Amino acid sequence: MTKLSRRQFGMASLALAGASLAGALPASAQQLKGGRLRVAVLSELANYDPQQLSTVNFHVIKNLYDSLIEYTPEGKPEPSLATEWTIAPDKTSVTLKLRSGVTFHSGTPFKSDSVLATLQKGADPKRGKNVFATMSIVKDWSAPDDATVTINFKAPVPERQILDLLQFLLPIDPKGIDTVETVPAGTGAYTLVNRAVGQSLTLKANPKYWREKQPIAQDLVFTVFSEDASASAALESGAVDIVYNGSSRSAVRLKNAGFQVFAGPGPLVQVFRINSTRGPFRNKAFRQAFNFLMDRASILRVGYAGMGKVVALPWAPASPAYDESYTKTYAYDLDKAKKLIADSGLSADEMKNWKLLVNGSDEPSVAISQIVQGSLQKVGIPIELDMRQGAEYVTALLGGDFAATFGAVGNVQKFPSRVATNSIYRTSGNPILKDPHPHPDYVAAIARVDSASGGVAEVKAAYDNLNKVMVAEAFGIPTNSYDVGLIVASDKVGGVTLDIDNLFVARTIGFK
Amino acid sequence: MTAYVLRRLFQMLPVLLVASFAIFAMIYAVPGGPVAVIVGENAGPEEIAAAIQRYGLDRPMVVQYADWLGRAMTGDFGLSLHSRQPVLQLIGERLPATLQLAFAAIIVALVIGIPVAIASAVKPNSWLDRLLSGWSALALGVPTFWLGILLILLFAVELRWLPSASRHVPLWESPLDALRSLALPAITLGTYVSGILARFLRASLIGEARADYVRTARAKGVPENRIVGLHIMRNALLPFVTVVGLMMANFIGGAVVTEAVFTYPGLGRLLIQAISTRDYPLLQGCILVILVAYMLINLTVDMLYAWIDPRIEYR
Amino acid sequence: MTETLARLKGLLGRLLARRGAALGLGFLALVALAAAFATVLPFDPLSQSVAASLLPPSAENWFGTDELGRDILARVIYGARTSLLTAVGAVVIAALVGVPIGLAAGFYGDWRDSLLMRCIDVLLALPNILFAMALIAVLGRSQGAALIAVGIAGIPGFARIARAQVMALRQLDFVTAVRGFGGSPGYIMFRTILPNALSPLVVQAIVLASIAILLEAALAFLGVGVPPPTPSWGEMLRTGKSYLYEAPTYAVLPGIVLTLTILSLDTIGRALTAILDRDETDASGETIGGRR
Repeated sequence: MTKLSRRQFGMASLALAGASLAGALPASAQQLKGGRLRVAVLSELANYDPQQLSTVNFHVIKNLYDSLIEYTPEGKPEPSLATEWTIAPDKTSVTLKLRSGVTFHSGTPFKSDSVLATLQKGADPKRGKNVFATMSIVKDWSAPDDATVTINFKAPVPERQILDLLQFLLPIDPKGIDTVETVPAGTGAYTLVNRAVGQSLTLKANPKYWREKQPIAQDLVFTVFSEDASASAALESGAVDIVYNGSSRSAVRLKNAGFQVFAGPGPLVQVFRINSTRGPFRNKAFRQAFNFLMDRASILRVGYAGMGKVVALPWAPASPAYDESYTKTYAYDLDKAKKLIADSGLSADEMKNWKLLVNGSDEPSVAISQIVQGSLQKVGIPIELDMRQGAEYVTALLGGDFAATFGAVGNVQKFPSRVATNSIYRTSGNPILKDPHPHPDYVAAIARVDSASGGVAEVKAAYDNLNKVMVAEAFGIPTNSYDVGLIVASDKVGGVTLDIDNLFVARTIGFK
Repeated sequence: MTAYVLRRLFQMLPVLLVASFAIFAMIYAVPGGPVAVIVGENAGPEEIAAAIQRYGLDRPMVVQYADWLGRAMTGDFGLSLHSRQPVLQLIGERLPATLQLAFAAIIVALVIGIPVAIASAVKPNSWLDRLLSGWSALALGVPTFWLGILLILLFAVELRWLPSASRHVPLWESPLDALRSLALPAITLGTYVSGILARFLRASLIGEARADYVRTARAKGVPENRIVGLHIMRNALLPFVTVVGLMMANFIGGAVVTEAVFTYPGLGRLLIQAISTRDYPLLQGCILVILVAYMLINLTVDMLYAWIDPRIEYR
Repeated sequence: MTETLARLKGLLGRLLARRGAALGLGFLALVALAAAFATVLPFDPLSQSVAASLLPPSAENWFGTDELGRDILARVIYGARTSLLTAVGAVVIAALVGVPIGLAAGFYGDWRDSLLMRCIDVLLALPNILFAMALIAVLGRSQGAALIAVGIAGIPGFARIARAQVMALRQLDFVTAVRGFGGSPGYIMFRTILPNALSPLVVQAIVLASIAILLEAALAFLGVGVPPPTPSWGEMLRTGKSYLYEAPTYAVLPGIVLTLTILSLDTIGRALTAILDRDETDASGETIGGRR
């Protein structure tokens, strides 16, 4: 296993984007030319720290940095800055061989010291940011030589969780690690030229990049748009070549107008979040009724233009815990819902004594909340919508100050216990359900997944158990997956690579 | 004159202060402070507490306002809580876009409004006058956002001539792109204003035409187009300037609906965003700019009055 | 009372004699009737059918269906309730607050005048729509909030007109006479001056009604109007705008109804102004001074 050729990347992306790509030629079938790639993005990045990964900097991180390992869109691990990884038979450590001949943008050679510095930052509660929680399984680390790193774990760790950690680590130049928020310090295919805050970000090709013949485009310019409609209009008028992270609805429309659409394997899952500590939701049968009350097909169609999949569990298809059968079992069924509602023993007044909190700034949320309201009306539960805008909504969400609301969750294609990084699924310090967690079965099920490091059967049993507990406790009712980080490109552009987390990877993109 | 201007400027201050404090107090009273937006959805209680402390949001409202006011006096408008960029810079990016749209809209309004007014004032109550009055009524009655939608449907969706969403392109950077981007919002806003201008100008033209000096001129045999062009127009311009000025002042912050239709990056939408994220410094900065612009334009209009009509004197 | 009624009847007759105003009154009556009897009509604005969403106009759904498969005509009819309720409510609020302010300011004419008018200036300095949005941010989205926000925006108009009327009337002999009899300021303002200043205020009420409907629609268009699923014309335009490619009639048809409503009010308002103006010129002040 050495590095991944462009051909393989191209094929992988084609296989995944499949149906939505009808008519597009495989990138490898033609020679792509370089040039100036202009990308419209819908968010201003927060900073350049790869350990503060959030959707606002999805478009830059993988262009300035490389991961230790990568995943194919199907979830298969691939070498990147680490050429080999060996997991000890007792699953308490992993040993990495590092790629030679790689340098950081500053000219510093990439060696084991940078991996150690990166691990250290990640394990620091102040500097670790998003990586910190993932580092909780790590005991310590060592570097026998410049090209080898060993990471030791506190207990046996499932293989998939180890791989997630490696994929989540993007080595930072030890010299620049303290200023990484303002000055990028990676090994990535592009280097920073200029940033006009709130307007644009200009990068240029890293001449010493280690992947052969990459990046293809010499210049990479991101323009920040505040509106989806403006970004689409810019693409249509030829002012940009690609729109990254636009809405599903625009993507469908632009596809019909002849543009290429690429959907990555790392979607979000929309979840009807229920505060099970309040009002009628304390009643388990009442909550379970909501498994059947979600008109998922309509929600997907109206909210996300049909782009995505209906799901009854918070997993993307790439997740190891994904189980299609739940979608059928918990399909929209008002009769089953009515029966559970009757079983709950609640009075009609108790059942309607709550409001559905709605993020008024989010168009899909407004539409799908009305669908749920309509379904509830049909089973005799007339409720009101509590529309809040911007800060007011986030405050209610943050404080757990709601009875029920729609909110998307991420990390649904990774190791299953990673779902607990989302507030409603947290096992401790849950801002909505508070401590002690009202659903000990769920907490136990997550712990069981985390400790299932044995054979395939043990792991599968742990996943099945988690799935069963999730629908039984019913404090989060997933409705559908939908795309984040959608790439809509003009037909002149080819060679789009899909990232497992739907980050934007520019190095393989060129002009036909 | 100078004394007059100074007095007017001085009179503005209390209105400015009261308005800006009133808005601050109102937004402050709302549940959902800016902290939630700053720290994000997955933040813990310690992070929230730290952010509240860091931004001084635990102080009483009046103290926060006074603090802001004190700094603002020295020209320091602070950083936006949300984007951590200087408020003045954010406003500075939006203001040119707003002004460009305002000027373009006024030009559209003048181009439509003046001929309509003159044509209908020449023969009041003729069929032409009625037709054109109907136009004014239509221009005023059609909601700008609906007109915008119709224009988008025609020019962007059907004909595909113009973009459905606008960007701000400075005119001197790329005149063609700027015009393409400005065309639909400027027509939308300008049509509405043309209705106001046409009605106003028609009324004052007819009023002036009945005036004694016009009768005298006619009696003396001065050619009709000279009468209309020179005498009537000149005097009718007076109230007209006021209306144009008022419109300008209103556009600084009040074109927000048109901005929303075309997703145009103007000042109005920046203010709405500031309200929605409870970004107090940005909110205060925007309101101050809008108020000051409103008052300065009003003052300019009054001075233009004096310049057009030497009979008016300010003390 | 009977006298006022008779006067109103006469006014109505003269309005109907004008073609434009008659058409406007007719359309308004239609909208008002539809709004009033919406519940009796066989239309359901809330019944969803996502399978039948975004349909073009047809014999079954005259205006087509929206993104949730609801009948757009039904929503336009129920939306009239939202619009008219806001208009009436806003006019009442603006008049109840604005008229006394204007009366007092004009009647006293001293520092109280300056103070009150400066307050009005503050209201005027900020664009209506921004002020309304800030207020709704405080009150939360609801029918009541929309109504209050729009109403407050209408206060300056009433205040200024009332003030101008008082200034014109307070020196007239019938007012000085009442003052001579020892009438209290309140009595003079509300029982003597106000009844004689009604005409321009009525015109202002109609003007404000159209502004209110427009402003409510604009607020809903910006996403801060009456919350869904309650139908509102502005909200329909807002949602319709994002479906321009899929269902162009969605945003067009409710817009026509909204525009016609505003045009009707505008036409009536101007006709009324013309009629009242003529009365005043004809009687050269008689109408004002004549009734004591």
